[in-house]
Amino acid sequence: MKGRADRDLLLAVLRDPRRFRTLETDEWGQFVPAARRAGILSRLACLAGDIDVEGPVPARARAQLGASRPLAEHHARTLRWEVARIRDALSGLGVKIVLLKGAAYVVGGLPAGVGRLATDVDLLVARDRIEDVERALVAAGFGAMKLHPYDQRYYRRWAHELPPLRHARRRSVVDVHHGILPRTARLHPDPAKLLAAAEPVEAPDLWILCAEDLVLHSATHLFQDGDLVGGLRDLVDLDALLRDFGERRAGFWDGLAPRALELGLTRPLWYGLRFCRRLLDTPIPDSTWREVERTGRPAWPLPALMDALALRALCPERDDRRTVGTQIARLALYTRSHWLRMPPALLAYHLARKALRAWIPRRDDEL
Amino acid sequence: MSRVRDLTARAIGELLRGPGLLLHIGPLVARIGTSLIELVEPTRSLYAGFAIADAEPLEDFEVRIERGTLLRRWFAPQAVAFVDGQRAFAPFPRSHCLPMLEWAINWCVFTRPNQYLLLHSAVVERGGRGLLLPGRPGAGKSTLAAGLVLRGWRLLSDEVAMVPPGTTQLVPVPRPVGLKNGSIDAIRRFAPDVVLGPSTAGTRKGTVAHMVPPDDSVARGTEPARPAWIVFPRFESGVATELRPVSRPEAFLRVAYQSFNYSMLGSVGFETLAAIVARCACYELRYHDLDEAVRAIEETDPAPSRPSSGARSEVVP
Repeated sequence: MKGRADRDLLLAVLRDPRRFRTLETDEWGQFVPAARRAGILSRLACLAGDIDVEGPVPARARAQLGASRPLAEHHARTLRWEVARIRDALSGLGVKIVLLKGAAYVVGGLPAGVGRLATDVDLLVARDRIEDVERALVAAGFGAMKLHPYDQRYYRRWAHELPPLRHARRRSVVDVHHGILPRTARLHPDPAKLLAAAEPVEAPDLWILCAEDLVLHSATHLFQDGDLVGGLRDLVDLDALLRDFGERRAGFWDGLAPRALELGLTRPLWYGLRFCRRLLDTPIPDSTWREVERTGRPAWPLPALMDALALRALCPERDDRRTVGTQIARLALYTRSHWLRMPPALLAYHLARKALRAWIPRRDDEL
Repeated sequence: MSRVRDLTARAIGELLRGPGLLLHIGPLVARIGTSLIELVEPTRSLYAGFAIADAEPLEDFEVRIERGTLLRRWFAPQAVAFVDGQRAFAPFPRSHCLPMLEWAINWCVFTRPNQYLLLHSAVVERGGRGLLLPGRPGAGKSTLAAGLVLRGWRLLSDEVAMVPPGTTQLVPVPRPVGLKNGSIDAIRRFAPDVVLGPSTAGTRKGTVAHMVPPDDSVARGTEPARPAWIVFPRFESGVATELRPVSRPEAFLRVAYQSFNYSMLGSVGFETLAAIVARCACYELRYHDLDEAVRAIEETDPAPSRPSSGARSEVVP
């Protein structure tokens, strides 16, 4: 594909939504499919609504932006309702329920939740109460999803969350976490510290991470716990959190780097801020950036390598036109994500199991 | 405006292999592409009357059907669907590529245009009055719609009723009509000169074939209809034809349950559907014999503008 013009266009609009007003007719033809592929069409539709797009928007682009909003509104409505059901199910336990990711943004009323597509509810609870929480959710109609036995064991033994639970009738999915990174991962942010600093939201008996921890979790999730594929949406979340807290919360920028140091998350914070700044022009004060550079910058040649790899993975390409360069980048990032997630011996075993399964498909894997 | 049939097979093949064939499907624009040579001729015949949208800067969706991975090109060859460049659905055997193309387009029409209330229903029209035939897969809505169309009704869609929220308009999305198993022969018996595309046996839904939509229906693809009847078809083997009135509240609930995005649209969806149902005479039609079923529908009076009897409670406020 010629020069990834669609990606550049998407990033330009994300950097400055006023760019909507000057999009040419054929640019709309690239912009809308790229935004949909990145999973942020509805979010951009909301932004476009806020700035009151004038100019010659092709009717078809206007219709598609309009059509993306009911889905996002439906997701937000469903998510709020589902969170309330989960709270009811857990109300007798006396457990502090901290919402994570999409649920936190939507229920917490944060700008990062506007127009965001999210259906799964992610929770953080104290590890010593996780079995009580699971039992209560099962009593309320949630059950284990059909998973490969190896995956089940993997979750229980090594992961930072229970295997996903799905409600028998509503088909909604809840992920119950006791940490934000796998037990086997290189970094070990202490969940107790996250829980202790959590803040209540307006809905009763529900909590979200404090501002700094929301940012750190978002960055950690993107750069420490995955292969970055399609991660532009997460980067947009991170950007929205940073802009919002930077504007609204006095002392936010000064507290960010120290909190990262305290939780041992300076590296993912460095990556998060770097890519937000580079791709989305997120306004980050120099003093904060200098401190994060000092504490979180990886050694040469990692920054240059990640620059080259991440950009390819973050903005999804069309699968049918994927280049060799992108395939290599994806393989490298996939390997990196596992490298960060578990020690070498376990990694070798895990990848061997996964590879074996890819070659000898079981019937129920095909579902 | 040129139509698919105005192009040579060679030109269509080149478009399908290359940038894709941009088609007006009612108010939507679809880009269809494939490198599978065996899809060129069926695409040409099933979409012969469709207008080519060469001046559109942006399509509503793109469907491409391509070959499977290198390994599967010789050993049990596969077809893979891409929707807007993203791999979609599990691969099909390559011999099922035509149903796969049609299902992928259906999927896009069911999930994308959320600027409309989308009801799972066939829609036909005669004399300006629209007839909705809602039902689950297998209820016989496509067969009945095909039968009515072969008796001169206009086809709006065999799968989905599109209603702009706040209106009582049925917006057409005419497409090839999907027929399954016994209904293929039933349609052939019903109208021996019917034009069907190739049959594909052994798919998940059995044998499937598609009826070419009439040119007139395709050409009037942006002309909405006003709803006047809702008839719930129920194909049952060996049953005598029976048309029974259904109360509006019951009809409302049954259509709502069959909707693709009723709950997504929230209160707007409720009000729009209520206004539609309020305009319609509602029936359930159990049938086996297609001739009788078509006659039973044609004998019903068009909906009176105000309910005269039958419906005791009104849904519309």
